[in-house]
Amino acid sequence: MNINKSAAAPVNNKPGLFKTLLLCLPMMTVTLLMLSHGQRPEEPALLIAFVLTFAFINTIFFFMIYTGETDRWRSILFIVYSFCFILSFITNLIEVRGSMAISEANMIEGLTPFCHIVIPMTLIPLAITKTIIFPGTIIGANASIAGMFVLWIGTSLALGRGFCSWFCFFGGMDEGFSRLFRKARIKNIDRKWTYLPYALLLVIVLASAAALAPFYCEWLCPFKTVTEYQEITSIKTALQAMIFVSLFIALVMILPALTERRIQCGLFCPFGAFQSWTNKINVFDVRIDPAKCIKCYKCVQICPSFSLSEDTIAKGKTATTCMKCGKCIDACKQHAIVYHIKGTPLNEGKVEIARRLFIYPAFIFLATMAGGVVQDAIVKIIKLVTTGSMI
Amino acid sequence: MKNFKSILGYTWAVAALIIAPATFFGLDYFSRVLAEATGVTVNPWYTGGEIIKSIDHGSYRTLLHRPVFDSLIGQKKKGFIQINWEPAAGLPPIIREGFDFNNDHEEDFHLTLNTKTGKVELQAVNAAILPEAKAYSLRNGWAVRISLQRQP
Repeated sequence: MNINKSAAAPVNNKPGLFKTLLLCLPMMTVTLLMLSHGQRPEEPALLIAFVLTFAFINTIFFFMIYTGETDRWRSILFIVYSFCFILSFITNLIEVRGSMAISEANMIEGLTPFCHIVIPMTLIPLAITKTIIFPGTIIGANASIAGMFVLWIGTSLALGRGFCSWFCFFGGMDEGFSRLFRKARIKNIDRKWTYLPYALLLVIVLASAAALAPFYCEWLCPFKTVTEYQEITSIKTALQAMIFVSLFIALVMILPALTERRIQCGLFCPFGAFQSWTNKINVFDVRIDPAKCIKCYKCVQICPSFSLSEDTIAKGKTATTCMKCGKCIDACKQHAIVYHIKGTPLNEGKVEIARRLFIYPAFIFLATMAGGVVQDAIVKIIKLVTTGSMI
Repeated sequence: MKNFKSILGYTWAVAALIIAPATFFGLDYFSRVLAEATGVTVNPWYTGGEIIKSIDHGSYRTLLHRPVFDSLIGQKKKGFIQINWEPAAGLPPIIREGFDFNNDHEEDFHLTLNTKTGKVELQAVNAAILPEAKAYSLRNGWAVRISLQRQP
């Protein structure tokens, strides 16, 4: 690794108030356009939701720039985004379909919103049969298949597995529960478990190709509990619902709370395992400066995706599973861990430039995805307060 | 070489700044381009497959889909055939209709569908028809799926 120790500029140098405001202007412009779609909201509830969301998102970004801390502020928006997503998604489903349950008739009509977790399961059938094994709509509908593929390609090119900390609408649930307690109740987790998502990925990809049906969605997705699930009409569908709820309680609620890690994302999610490979081609990574590292291994203990170990620290970089959340960077008192652009020297003077070049696109993804659902959730809450119903 | 790698790195990093907003602003356009360029469709196990016959009855029409046996490679032993009736507003209370899906000019099965209750009765003539028929109430009418077994 090329480390330029001669550079004198301190890491995480904080800009002043005026410079911070200047640096926030581009984000304010982009979020204004994204949230308003170029039009001033007419209805009072929409206007209130727009103003609150715009202010909230840009306050988060302001502090991200002003304090030089990334994860501390990202996680607030990420968690709010995820819980607003549940509220928005479920109420929209009930408005459109009348229920969270999806019937076989809904599937025939292609009324199932497409989710990024299905993507790895679709690839083999797509290559061989030129069809998508999912009961959704290719284009035109809300959460269409082509639309989700475009979002996935864009995010992967820009962020790699940063997708899991800056885009995924499920990740914030896991993260929210992982921050419930101040101290982890379970500290030692055998690193062998980190192979589980890869094994699961292999099994679900092969099983889905053989059955021409998305195996993970049908049997293993914990997030079905808070989004949609197949209508319970048989022992099979009842069993599936029981598995979804059990996995949600265990992997998204209890284990993250006890371990302070994103257990579902780091040790179970097959899409996360699949997405790790995009880190190989993405330009941003997280590096550790061995010269500054005092081997306290605090970063190893707190990494939510199990991407740091003594071995990886010795090599000066994270494992490919790194979600680029920035938690280790914020936690390292020695400023030994930094965002980095591949191919460039790990020069202290360029550390903040690399960080900003990463957080601008990353925050645009998070702000745009979060903005829509946070606005919608606020509108639903205003509706509940004023009319007694969210629908 | 180091400088070249640096320039490449910074170029991609700056490109990410463009990719992020472009992904959202161009979402509809890119989705359409992707769908058209790949020609990808939803698997017939969900959609019912391509429509091979459309019969106009005046106030409503019958759409007969192709038999679906699709598997990853080759064909499955058991499949289905789907029939749709639409629009919902024009459907009579009881639909009675015979179908020839293999174009041998002989009726392969006869269906009776009660569009008020969804009760479906199947009379199979062709040996490929299995005695399993299920009706689905759709937003714009009804669909019935009949199980088939592949004939040698």
